[in-house]
Amino acid sequence: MKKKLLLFLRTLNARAYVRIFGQMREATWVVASVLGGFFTMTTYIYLYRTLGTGSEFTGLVVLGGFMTPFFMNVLWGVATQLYWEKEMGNLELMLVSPAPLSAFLVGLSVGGAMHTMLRSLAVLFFGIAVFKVQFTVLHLPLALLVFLVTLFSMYGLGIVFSSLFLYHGRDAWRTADLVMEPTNVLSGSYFPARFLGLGLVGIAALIPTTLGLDALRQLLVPSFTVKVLDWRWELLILIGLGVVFVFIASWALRAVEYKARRDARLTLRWQ
Amino acid sequence: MHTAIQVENLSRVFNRRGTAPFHALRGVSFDVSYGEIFGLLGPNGAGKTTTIKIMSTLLLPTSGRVTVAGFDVEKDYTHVRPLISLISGGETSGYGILTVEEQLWMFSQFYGMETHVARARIEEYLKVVGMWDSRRQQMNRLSTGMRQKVNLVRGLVTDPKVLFLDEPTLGVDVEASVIIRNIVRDWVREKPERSVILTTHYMAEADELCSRVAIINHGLILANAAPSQLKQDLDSRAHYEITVDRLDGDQLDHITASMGEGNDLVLGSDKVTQSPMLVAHLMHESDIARLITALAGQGATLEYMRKLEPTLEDAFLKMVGKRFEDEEEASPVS
Amino acid sequence: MKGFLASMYIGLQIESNWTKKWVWLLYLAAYPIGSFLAVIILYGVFGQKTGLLPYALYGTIFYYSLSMVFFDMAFSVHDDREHYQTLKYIFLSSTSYRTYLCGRAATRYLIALAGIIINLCWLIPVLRLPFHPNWGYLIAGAILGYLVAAGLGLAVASVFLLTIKLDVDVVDALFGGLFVLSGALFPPTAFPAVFAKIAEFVPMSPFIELMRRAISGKILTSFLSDMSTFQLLGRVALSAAVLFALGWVLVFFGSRQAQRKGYIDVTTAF
Repeated sequence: MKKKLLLFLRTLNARAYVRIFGQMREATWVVASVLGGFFTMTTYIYLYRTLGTGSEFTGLVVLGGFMTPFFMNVLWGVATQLYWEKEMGNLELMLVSPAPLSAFLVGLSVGGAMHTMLRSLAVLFFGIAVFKVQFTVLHLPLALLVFLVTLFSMYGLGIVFSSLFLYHGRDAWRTADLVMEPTNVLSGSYFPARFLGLGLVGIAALIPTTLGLDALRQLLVPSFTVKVLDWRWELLILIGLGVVFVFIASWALRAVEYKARRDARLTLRWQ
Repeated sequence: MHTAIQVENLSRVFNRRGTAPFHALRGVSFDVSYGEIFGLLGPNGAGKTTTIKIMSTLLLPTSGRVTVAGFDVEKDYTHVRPLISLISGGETSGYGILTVEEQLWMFSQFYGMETHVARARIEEYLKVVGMWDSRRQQMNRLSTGMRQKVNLVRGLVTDPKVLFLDEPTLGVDVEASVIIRNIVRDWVREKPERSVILTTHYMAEADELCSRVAIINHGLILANAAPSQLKQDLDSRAHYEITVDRLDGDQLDHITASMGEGNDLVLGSDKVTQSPMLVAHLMHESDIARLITALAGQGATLEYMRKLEPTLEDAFLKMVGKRFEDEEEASPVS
Repeated sequence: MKGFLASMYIGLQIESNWTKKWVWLLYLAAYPIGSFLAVIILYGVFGQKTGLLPYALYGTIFYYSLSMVFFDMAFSVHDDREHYQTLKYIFLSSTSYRTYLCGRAATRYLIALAGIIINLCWLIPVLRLPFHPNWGYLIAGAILGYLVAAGLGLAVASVFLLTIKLDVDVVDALFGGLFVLSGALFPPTAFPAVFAKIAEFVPMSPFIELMRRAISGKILTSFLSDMSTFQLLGRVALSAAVLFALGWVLVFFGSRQAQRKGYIDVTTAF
């Protein structure tokens, strides 16, 4: 057991290392992340000024802009990664090793989350420093907890998706590309999710950013009233979702790996 | 247990949409002992890589059974994986943004190695392959040969029991190929519980390295023996090439008659000197003395003589029915 | 011309052969929805009073027709070089790389336009968008739009020929900036005066505004309202010619520089 745990942690650490330190060698991403954050923020602020929704709305979208890069990272950095690893010829080496696939994906998630943090912090910085958006810091530790639980749940979902990419190729990639923006919209990145109506919110709540964002808005924006549920309930649901996703992911990765070994899909490139 | 790998009646069928099922393997059986370098030879599409993929847990067989170190690759694959390593020729795996040292460390972590142990082995093997000075270079700046040396080190650092080498010297220059072959040979000799499965297109490589080779074609094992045995089985006669200063057809007939039945002599000419050249296929090695005496009897002076040894390629030619390169050109890619 | 058509065909295969034809047609129709869904909700729910839904929706949709081409051309350099490892063979072929890129761009542009047309067929009646098309301007605008998109795409490709690692964040930031400044989502008059002025000179702004006017038959906001539609067409034609020529020259120099640096067949394992 101890040996297995150590193997998991060492794999996680090594895979996260590639994401964090490997990427640092290409300095352009820092500039791009900061600029990307600035443009995201500018778009939101001027869009809401045009809409005439009042300044309190800008706080909500800053938080949306803060969470969106993580959502993108889950979809493009985690879910599709096994597809890219296969295309690069790494997947077979990963599979031949004793390390579980989940360890690679968790490592990728940790590395990806840290990598994404810069862009998210840039959004927050421009929102607060340039556009004078105000947040309350009264519940900062709780907000941090909600944020971390949301990440846990969201990356759990990403690992579930990644099992699909283990078997499928461009078809899964195209599907992810297709659903990315509509899903981002429905999870309330640009406006309070409550406006979608309870039916749609119920479906959108399967994406952890929906409730995570709603809870963060309740904790950090005092004037926010159009909540979906009380943040405490949302936190509990997010924990539940995270646990369920982790279980599904662990089962799905094994099942899909077996299926891919059977159908000769593990090393099939340019699929 | 002396068997590192046991392959029993292995079959694999690929079902492809719109085409007839492709039988990549049709009842392949062989075993590999510890301490052995075992070669799988065959043209493209013969089933070599499919066999390697099944043995290395990347692909399931349609039927049959494979065990590695006593573990079934289908059911006990989690026990198999810590014991094996896979190196493919021409692979561009890994991450170009990492340095050589980082890349090797990363893969060692996937095997749960302690960092200090991994670093010591990385240093040891990088020095062996002559790449210690390049340890801080990024992977994407390495030449093909250097990259393949790093791949070899990656496979060895984790100290596997079974090493799968799939065309390890593909696209690599002569010097790097020699280094790779020497390292593989020394690595197996170092510990008796290690073994290597090698697929290669280079007959000389298999001849030099392997204690046994299996010739595979169209998913069937055509022969499985030591290279020397395969060559010996090819033809029990002794073959010589003899260049003399003069010899005509009548003289040859005379000599042939004197040599007796079963000894064939073919007269040609040396491509460079244009001198008469005799190719002799003799029943017994000792018959060469009689032949030289007979030549002298006809007044021919010996200019040059060499014994023709059958090669593994000749054995392949006999088994598969075509020259290896011809097969290469004619076969579809698997 | 043969090379151009062959490149178009390759582009079509890359875009479509991952699935069955009918699934791809559904995909083609559904894909643009992601680009305008947020616009419908934001302007439909929160910005009803502004009356800017047609402006933002048409703007976003036509920006989409351009952005698809930029993205595709930026990625195609890396995809061909690293993933499919065919860039060197394209360079060796008798078709020039610029022609190849233009062929790829044409396919992507036509696919984007097809998706737009399919969606406008339901968006216009359902959302009661103003629809008084001037077909002449629309067709001329669509043709010039290809040149604008291909010109920018060629310029982007020339830069990516000289980088050996694709950074998605860079592409994202570049097109994020162009999106804000082109006035696709909201009138740039909302910006401080200096940025509003800059927005007028962003190469996509006149094209997007031309298409808005050509399809709605109206001038929807004060942005670029001092120009007549004909003047706008002239401006688009000028920017299309300049951009296309610039892109053409940049790829020429980019290719030569890439050859000099040995970047044509470099693989970095991404």
